[in-house]
Amino acid sequence: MNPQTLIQALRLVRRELRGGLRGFGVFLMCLFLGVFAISAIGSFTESAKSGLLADASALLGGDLEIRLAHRELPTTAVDYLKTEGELSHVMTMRTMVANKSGTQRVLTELKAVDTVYPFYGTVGIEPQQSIAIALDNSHELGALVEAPLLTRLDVKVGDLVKVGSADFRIRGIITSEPDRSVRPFNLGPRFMTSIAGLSATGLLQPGSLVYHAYRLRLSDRTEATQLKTELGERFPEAGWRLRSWREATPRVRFFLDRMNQNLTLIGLCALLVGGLGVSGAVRGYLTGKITHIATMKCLGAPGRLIFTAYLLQVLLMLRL
Amino acid sequence: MIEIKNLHLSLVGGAGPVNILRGVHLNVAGGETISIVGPSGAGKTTLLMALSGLEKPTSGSVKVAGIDLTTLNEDELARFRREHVGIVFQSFHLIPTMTALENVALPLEFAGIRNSEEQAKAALEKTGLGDRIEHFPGELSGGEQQRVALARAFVVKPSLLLADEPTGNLDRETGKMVMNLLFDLQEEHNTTLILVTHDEMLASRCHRSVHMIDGQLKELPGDIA
Repeated sequence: MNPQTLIQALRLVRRELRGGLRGFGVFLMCLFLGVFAISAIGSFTESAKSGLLADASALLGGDLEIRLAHRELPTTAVDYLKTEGELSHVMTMRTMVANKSGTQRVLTELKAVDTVYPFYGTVGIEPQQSIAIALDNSHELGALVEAPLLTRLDVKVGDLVKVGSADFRIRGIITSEPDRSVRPFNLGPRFMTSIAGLSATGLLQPGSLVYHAYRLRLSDRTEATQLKTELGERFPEAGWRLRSWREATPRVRFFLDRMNQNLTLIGLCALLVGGLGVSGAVRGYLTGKITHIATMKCLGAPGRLIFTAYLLQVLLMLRL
Repeated sequence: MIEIKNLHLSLVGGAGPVNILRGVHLNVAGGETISIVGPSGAGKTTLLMALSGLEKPTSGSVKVAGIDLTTLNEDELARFRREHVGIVFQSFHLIPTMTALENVALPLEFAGIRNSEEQAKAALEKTGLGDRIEHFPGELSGGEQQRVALARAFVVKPSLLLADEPTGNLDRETGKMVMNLLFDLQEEHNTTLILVTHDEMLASRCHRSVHMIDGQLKELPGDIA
């Protein structure tokens, strides 16, 4: 291109752009939203995933979890697991909790934990105390509950409540629970006690809907996947469900993946609209400049100068 | 200066071709002023466009300053307009994002003239707008805008000035002042003027008047000059 033409074109561009970016608003907005949506959701998903992975062991409650429904692990399996690392046993079930007089009853998510619980993280308790003290059974059975249970039973910390045939002294309120994964809903507030406490309720009967979770803490958690394979081979008839720390919170990860896909699709749609907006905006912009172009042609502007000037304007605006 | 022979010009619209100019003959000497009068839609503006090379004739020939416009390509026509033609419109058609000085300098810049701004400034001073050179068209009155348009048309010292109802958007007094300026500049540069107007008084200021009816020119009796 003739340098003189380019200089003239640039001069025209500078003067023409004094009129601003009218007509390019929708296009720029689509472009911004599209790029923002794709980059934001991508980085959010990755941050959330890496955060989940960093806290995976805490969320799972161990490096490897073995889950069974309605039955405990056979002794042979427990003995074997104890040779691989530290073992913790947690039982969960849904049951009713009543106030001392029996006038108020609430469905709760009962969780019975052993003395090594939790392997990772801490249970937040109000008033502050260790979980070992809170669930100590030496004088009477103790329990920790979530605040909604107190409200529904109209009791307070220090009061007695009844589960099955046992009375429990409420020792504190649970403010956080490291291995309680994100769930869309819970049937009731948490009621946490010791395994001995649950046994005292008389609810552990053959056929009781109790779920057992055995958590292993390994010296090297990267061996969890390999151990999972070995356990599957060693106990092929066990009927358990094994999850390593890498597979913690599968539903959350699934949700994040779906959200990532859907929001990326929305971002791509916004970009597509932006792409369509390009032609509309360019056409609209040039339509607004037709009189200018015609005037310049009347004044003897060469066609290539006009073409260059307006091409530069469009390219400049696209670059913005 | 101008030699038009049997000029036909048809434009294709949605309803088919429309014959706008139907055999126009016109000869104009250098420095002559001619007014073209006639009803709207008769083809007056189209004739000006053919004279400036903005519309290509369907048949016939158009020669301006010895150049046959029908043989020129787009680039050659652009050069022809730069070197020979000044145009003044009814709606001024100044570029709103450019100052008065930039608007006037524009044809000089297209022609690659180096001291375009000095010449443009001198042209604006000649039209009495020396103190408004940095003003944008939106900051000028209609009369001032038309004076800027006149400065822009005359700044390249064209041999032919085409004026399409230049007072159509102005009040009587302002129109009179603008036309005085136009004729002064025309006389100073000995420019050939083709003036399209509905104003008979204005038309009478030209050396002769022609009447455009249904795409054909008819000489009006009694030349003024």
